[in-house]
Amino acid sequence: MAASTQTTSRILRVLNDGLGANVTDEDLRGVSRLDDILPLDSIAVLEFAIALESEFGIQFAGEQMKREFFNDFASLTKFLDAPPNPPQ
Amino acid sequence: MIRRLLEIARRGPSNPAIITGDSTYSYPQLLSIAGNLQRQLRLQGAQPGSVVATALPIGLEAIAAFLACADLGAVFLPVNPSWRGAEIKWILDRIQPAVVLTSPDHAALWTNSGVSPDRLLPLDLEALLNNAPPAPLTGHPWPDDHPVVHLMSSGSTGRPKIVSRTNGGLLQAADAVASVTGMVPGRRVLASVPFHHGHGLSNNLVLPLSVGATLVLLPRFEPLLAAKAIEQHAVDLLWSSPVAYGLLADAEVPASALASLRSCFTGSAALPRKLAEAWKDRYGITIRNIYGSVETGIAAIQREDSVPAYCVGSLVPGIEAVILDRDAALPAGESGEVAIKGASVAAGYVGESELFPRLWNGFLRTGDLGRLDEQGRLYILGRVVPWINIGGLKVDPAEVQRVIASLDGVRECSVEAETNPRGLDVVAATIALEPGLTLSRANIIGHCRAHMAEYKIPRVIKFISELTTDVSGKRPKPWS
Repeated sequence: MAASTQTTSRILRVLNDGLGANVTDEDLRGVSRLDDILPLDSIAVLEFAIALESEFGIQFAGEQMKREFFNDFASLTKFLDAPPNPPQ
Repeated sequence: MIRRLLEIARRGPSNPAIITGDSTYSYPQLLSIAGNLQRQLRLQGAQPGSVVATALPIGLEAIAAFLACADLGAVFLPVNPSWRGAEIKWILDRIQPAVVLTSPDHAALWTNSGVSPDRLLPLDLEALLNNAPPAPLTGHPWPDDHPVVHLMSSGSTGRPKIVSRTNGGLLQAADAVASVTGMVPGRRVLASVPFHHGHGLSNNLVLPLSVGATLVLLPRFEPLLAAKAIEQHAVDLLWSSPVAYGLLADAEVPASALASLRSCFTGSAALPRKLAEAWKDRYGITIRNIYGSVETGIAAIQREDSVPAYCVGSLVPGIEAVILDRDAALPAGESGEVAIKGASVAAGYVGESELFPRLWNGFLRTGDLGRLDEQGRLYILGRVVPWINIGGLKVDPAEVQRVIASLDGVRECSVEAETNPRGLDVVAATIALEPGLTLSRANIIGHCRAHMAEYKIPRVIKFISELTTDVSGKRPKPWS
């Protein structure tokens, strides 16, 4: 659970520092779908994916590079908590 | 256009025209597919002069549709497939297409907007590939002034306008650009800019095919997929946008994957200098600027490896430019509104001629602020009237403002561009609410999503107590 909180903070940092959004802790609270609080057009999805890769030291597989994957906030957080290819 | 492609097919029947996924189509095969589609269009009621709307991603179907229309003498109207109800209705209020070509899962958007089902043609690629007997294209010699495509433009206000491009204008522009970019038969071009975008249709479709080059199709831009396609198919020429070049660099695509690239051009938005330098350092390739719009076609191209800041290159053959201060031409070195004249310049807007920019001695006013230097190089310094450029898609701040202001509880709203940490523009909204009311970021985004395409929704949302500015023009601080 603690890891998730830390992961959420890191996602928040990616949203603000990587994408230039101005999302707050409060905005993220209780969010199940990221597009509730962020426009997720195709460019935003790519920017988000690349910024997450950089922040978490991972690489998303091709089939993950879809809006649906990044939109489900709970499963995204769970994935980032324990990525299959963790940073070396 | 089609007569030229038929000649290219006759001279090199095995030359590849399209590579998509693992499939390669020669010029004769591509023209055959377009012929089969043209037969379907005719059966559906399309004829010379009628408009065929297409809402399709980059793909063989969209290219075949363009060629089928060009041969039939129908007008190809590419529509952004991400557009929704209100945006589709906006088109239908101005143009009633004889046929709408779309993917089966997109069809309901059109019928819900009032298009009768008998005008819809959901595309079935298998049927096009296996349709017998063949229905060859005719190569009918349509005159130069025959309209061949209607493109959506974002002009000085950002609201789309419909620009008609003619058979002759499109081809002359392609020939002029080919002459200064080394676009010759055999070159391999990555088609990654959607065809509903003027830059995509002109440079990722018409230009390469008009010389007999090969298009490698990338239906959805993802940096690693793009790099894979470039490496796998030895792509040597890339026309794209700063967003795409930035994503390739950010994804740390290795230089070895892009080793086949010999020429890179960018349009749609200003190229951040930092990105140009990073790209050159990492990949050893200069990204060259192109400048133009749907209304003007490509007006200038950077030929040198290195140019001064804001320089977008020299004028394309057949294009003239002047810098205007209201109604007077300015000398070299002085800044004013850029105005362009040439065969590729559009004659007006479809259905809204009153909105077309006022000409100055035959020169089209672009709304861009710029200057020419003594060597005739063009510099673009900004806009006379601002819009927001999101990866080449233009967003009208006034449209976003109107949508947000229509939400109950919003008293005032202001929308403008904000630069993100990567040096690119995002949509930013500053909102003042009615006293005592509370709205969340989610409320604003949900309301916007119901009324407009995703790329127009603000990424930055600030709530403030008052929107009015003080005497110094400063805005009050956000609440948070």
